Amino acid sequence: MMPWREKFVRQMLAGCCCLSLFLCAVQPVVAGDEAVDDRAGSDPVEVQGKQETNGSMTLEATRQGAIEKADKAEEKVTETADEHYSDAVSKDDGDMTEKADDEAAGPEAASGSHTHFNMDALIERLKNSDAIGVFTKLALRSDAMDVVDEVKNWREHKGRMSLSEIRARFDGLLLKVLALLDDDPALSADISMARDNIWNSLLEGKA
Amino acid sequence: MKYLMGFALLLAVIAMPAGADAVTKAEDIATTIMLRGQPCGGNTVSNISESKDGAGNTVIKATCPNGIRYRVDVSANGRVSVTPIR
Repeated sequence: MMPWREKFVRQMLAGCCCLSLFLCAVQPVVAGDEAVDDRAGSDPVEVQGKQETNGSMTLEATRQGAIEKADKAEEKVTETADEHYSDAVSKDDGDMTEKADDEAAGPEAASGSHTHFNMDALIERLKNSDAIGVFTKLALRSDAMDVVDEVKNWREHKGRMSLSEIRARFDGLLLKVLALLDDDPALSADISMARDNIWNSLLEGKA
Repeated sequence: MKYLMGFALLLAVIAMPAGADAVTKAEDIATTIMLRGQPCGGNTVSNISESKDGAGNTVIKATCPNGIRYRVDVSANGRVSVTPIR
C-alpha cells in the first residue's frame, strides 16, 4: 500500500498538470476574442492603451507609429490618385487628337480605309473557305454581281428598284452566305459584324 | 516497320478532319440548286454528269433526292443558272 502523503502528492501533481493543460488550451481562444473585440471597437488609442497595460509598447510610441503609418498611406493614396489622373488625362488627350485627325481627314477617309481593308480581307477569306463549295461560291458571286449592278443602276437613276428593295435583296444574300458558313463560324461572325460596312462600300461604289 | 505503321496512322488521324469537313461535289451542286430557289429534297445529288464547251461554259446535270433532274449552267464569266429538266 502507498502511504497517504505520497498519494496526495501524486494527485496534486496530476491536478497541476491538468490545470496547466486547460490554461494552455483556453488561452488562444481568449486572445482571439480580445482581438475580435479590438477590431470591432476599432479605436487605436484604446488598443494601444491595452497594449500599454500589457507592457509591450508605450502609448506615445504606438501613437507615433500609427501617425506615421497614416501619413504613408495618405501619400500612397495621393500618388495613385495622381497616376490615375495623369493616365486619364493622357488617354483623353490621345482620343481627342485621334478624333481631331479623323475630322481633319474627313468622314470618308476616316471610315473608308478600314472598310476597304475589311472588304478585301473578307472576300479573300470567303474565297479560301472550305465551308462552301466552288459552284455555290460561283452562285453567290453572281448574286452579288446582280446586287452591285442594281446599285449602279440606282445611282445612275436607271434602275427600277428602290434603295430599300436593293437593301432587302442585299440582306437576303448576306443571310444566305451566313447560313452557308455554318462550318466557319469565325468568318460568319466577321461578315455579320461588317454588314453595314459592306453596304456602305457598295453604295460608295468601292465593291 | 512498326514505327512506319505508327507514323502512317498518325498522318491518317491528322488528315481525317480536313477531309471530313470539305464539301463534296454532290453537296455543292445540291446547295447551288437550292440557292437558286429550286426544290431538291436533300443535301446531295446523284447521277452527276459534267460537260464543258469550247467557250468555257460548263453544263452540269444532276438528280436530286426528290427525283427532279436539274441542269446547272455555269457561264464563262461565272454566272450560274439552274433549270429543271422535264
